Amino acid sequence: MLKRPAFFLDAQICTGCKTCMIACKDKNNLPMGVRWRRVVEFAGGDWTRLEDGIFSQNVFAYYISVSCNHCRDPICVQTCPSTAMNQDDHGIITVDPQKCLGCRYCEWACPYSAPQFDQALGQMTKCDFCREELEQGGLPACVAGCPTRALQFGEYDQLAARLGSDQLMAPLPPPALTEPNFILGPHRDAKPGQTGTGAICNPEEVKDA
Amino acid sequence: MHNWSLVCFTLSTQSAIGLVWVSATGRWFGGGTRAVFSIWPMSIALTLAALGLYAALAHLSKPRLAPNALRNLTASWLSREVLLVQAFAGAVALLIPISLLDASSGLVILEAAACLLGGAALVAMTRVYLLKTVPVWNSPATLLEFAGSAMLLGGALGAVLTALKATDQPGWSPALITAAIGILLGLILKLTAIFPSLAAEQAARDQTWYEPTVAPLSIGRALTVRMGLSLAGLALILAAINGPGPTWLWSCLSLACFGTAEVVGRQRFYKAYRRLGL
Repeated sequence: MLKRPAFFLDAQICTGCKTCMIACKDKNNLPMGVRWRRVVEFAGGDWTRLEDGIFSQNVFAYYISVSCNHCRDPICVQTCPSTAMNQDDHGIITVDPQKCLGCRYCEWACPYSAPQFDQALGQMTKCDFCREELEQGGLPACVAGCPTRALQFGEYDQLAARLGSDQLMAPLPPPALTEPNFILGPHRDAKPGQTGTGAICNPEEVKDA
Repeated sequence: MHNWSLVCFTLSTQSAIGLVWVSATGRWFGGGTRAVFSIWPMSIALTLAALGLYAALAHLSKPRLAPNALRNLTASWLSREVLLVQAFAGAVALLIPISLLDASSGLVILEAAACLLGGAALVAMTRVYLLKTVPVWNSPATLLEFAGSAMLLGGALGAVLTALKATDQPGWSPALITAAIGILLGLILKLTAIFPSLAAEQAARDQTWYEPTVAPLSIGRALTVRMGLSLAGLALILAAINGPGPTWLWSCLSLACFGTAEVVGRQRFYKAYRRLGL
């Protein structure tokens, strides 16, 4: 098993097909409304008038597939009053159902919307990196399912050394906030992480239930 | 997410803390007024704290696992809040038998402990909302609002209790003066919170992608409603002190006005939630 597994998304080749979402839901048998992995559609643009009076457009759209990033400074683990949110030696964060009260404080705090409330269980649930697959040398379901290989995973240090780790890309929060184990290959139209540059076009798919 | 349980928890607990502060201060300024006078304020503070804790329990999806909430005292402000509110309620519960025994010396020590625990609980309650990912809450306005609610509601409750036993202490008693000062301080804190609150609201709008799930009352409209109700409460408390008619009625109406303003403000506080990122 990897020392510190991390997800890598090449936003340039992600087509937003959402197979990763479906693979995750299928593998973990998730009920309706619970989405451990979500694909955000970010789009924007406008008409601009050029000096010669001609109108041109700068429309763009790109997709970001996000799950729990098993952050190095995990705000969910810090805020959880019951220690139900816990992080193991590999950095994988899981929820202990014996301890979770269902207060949903982690949901308030996480900027990636990773902890998902399961109404039937009355508790928080989240991505565990398909730990049992990793232990057997396999791949997380989302990575295995990605048809374009936009979504991959690997050792954080290797990925960060190759691709850098401080990519700021809207609508993700600044990485310094929680230090996610998530490396992003930016899209050519990637916008900086601030509002006014575009909008999330599928809020009903990615927002808290 | 349902906010009513949290509105009830925070407002009840803050009222209880404020009432203990106002009542203890009134007694100290009163030159050691008999301990037995603390029974009513402390009983009401305990009832409010118990109501708050019950509301907090009702907020949980798994209330039977509630004792687990104390497991993360080293890192989680929510854990610390639960512990401190319980400690505060425990100190207030101990104050009641001591008041009944009219043991003034023991009362002073316990009253001071209850006041300090109340202050610590209020700080912990504020820290719960100072999340770096939620700019609309992560502002000095949260502390000012919470402290203001404690002083305002504690003062208004103190005024009602003073009015109800006015036959014992007619006119400007130390208890009434302290209650009035509490209300005034509460209102000053609330007014001070307006600008940081507007700044936090703007920061949240600039940094977050989603609108709040349930569009809250606009900040201007909420401020107008709250200020109108607070001014009515202030006028009624002045009528209770100097005006004609039954003092208890004016002070009860004043408490109703302040209470409604606080419920409106707190509901809006929760509904304005929006966080950074997704």
